Parts: sequence; C-alpha cells; structure tokens
Amino acid sequence: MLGTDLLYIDDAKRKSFKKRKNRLIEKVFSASELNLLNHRLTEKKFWLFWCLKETGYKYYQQQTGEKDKINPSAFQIDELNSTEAKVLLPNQELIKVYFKEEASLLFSWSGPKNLVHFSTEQVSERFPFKRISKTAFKQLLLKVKKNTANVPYFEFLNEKIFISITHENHWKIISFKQDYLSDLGLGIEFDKYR
Amino acid sequence: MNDNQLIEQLKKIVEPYVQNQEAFQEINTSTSFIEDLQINSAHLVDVILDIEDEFNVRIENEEMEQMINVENSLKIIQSKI
Repeated sequence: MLGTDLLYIDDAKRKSFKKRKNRLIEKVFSASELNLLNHRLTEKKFWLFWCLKETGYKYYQQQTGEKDKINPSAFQIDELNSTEAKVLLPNQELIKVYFKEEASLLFSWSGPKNLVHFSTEQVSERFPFKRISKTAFKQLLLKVKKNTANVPYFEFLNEKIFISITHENHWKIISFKQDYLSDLGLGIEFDKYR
Repeated sequence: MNDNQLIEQLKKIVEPYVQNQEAFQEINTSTSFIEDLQINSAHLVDVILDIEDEFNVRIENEEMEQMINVENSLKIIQSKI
C-alpha cells in the first residue's frame, strides 16, 4: 500500500481561515489531535495535518477499496516530529507517514522503503522527486487506470500494480515501488536522478 | 425548493473550486465532486462549510462523509431545510 500528497499552501490558503478556524477544526480534527497541537493551530499546521491525513486516506483506500468519502477526522495524527508522523487509520492500523515542507509546499508519503516519486517539472531541490520527461510521463499516464474506489493503478500482465498520484497541479507527481520499473518494461529515461 | 433550484445554488457554491469546466457545465445529480468536477480534496471541506452558510444548516461529520456527489448532497440539504 502507498499514499502520497502534494500541497501548494498558497493555493490551499483561504482568506476565511481565521473566521472559519473553529468550524474547520470540528470537521477535520479529533479531540486527541487537538491535544497534540496543544490547541495552537496555525494555517500552516492545519495544512500539514491535512496533507498527512490525505496520505493516510489514499493508503487506506488502496488497502480496503473503500469508495471516496469526506472523513478527514477518521484519519488521526497520533505522533508528529519534524520529518514524520504516525497516522491512525479507521481500521486502527498505525502507519508511518514521512513529509518534507518548505514555506509554500508540503509533500508527504507512506509506503514501502523503495517507493520512488517522479515529477515532470522542477518542484524543489529539497524534495525527493526524480525528474521524468513529459513524453515518458505521458506514456505512463496512458497506462493509468482507476478502480471503482477511484484508486489509481497500472495494469501489467493482468496484474494490478497500485500507484499513488497527487492530483495537485495536474498530476505532477506519480509514485510507485522502484521494482515495478523493470516489471513494466517501459524503458523510462529520467531527466536527472537525485 | 425543488432539485433544480438546489442544483443551481449548489453550482454557485462549487464553481470557485471546480477544475473541470466541461463537467461543470453538464452538472447533474450523478456528478461527482472529486472524479467529475475534479475539486481538490483540500477544498472539499470548504464546499461543506459554504453549504452550511448558504443554506443556514449544520452538516454533521457522518453526513459530510457521504457528500461526495450532487445527489447525496441534495438529499442531505433537502432533509435539513
């Protein structure tokens, strides 16, 4: 299972955050998360939590095949340090979610150790993305399918290979296990490795 | 208020967040906010809060879970107004 999320904070930010803060908290956070935040919630912290929850949501959807729901409070941030968090899923599984953040950008991921993330554009030097040409990326995207739960996957020799895509800014990032590259035999050439 | 009137109000609410204008023009009860309108997940809670404000209702979290498409949203709004 894997899940990722990329979030441009400036795009996500809203003028009404302060005005709506308490109502957003009710819809998005559990009581234990408020304790973890020490009841001090900045907008940046809100989006970090959102990003982590979204990653847990995608992971859980792959695992269970559950259809789309708007239930952010069901994905609870249990522990948090400067690079990773533990997210409690609705089935009580606790998963580790890693993240990197910059002033205006958040990226989080969860899954196997050899998970790789590809991007068609320069996102940030500090972020763990491998560059891939747009042509090769399109070849990949042509093979992307989605199951009834809206979970993306590649189909290879009648086998479903689950991937994770962040929809932020037109599917810029696509993630899957490194091993699948050779399995897929797509001969992807990367612009540059990092 | 009938379904058509509700859909018109709902259209005004979701419009700022829609990324697929073509699907937006053809919006109907089976339209999905995520799959069809491509509303970013980060904005889905905004849609719910906007609905609360527009219709002066309170959406519980259990109801919010189901509001992933126009049909479910209409049912929940209708039950509250």
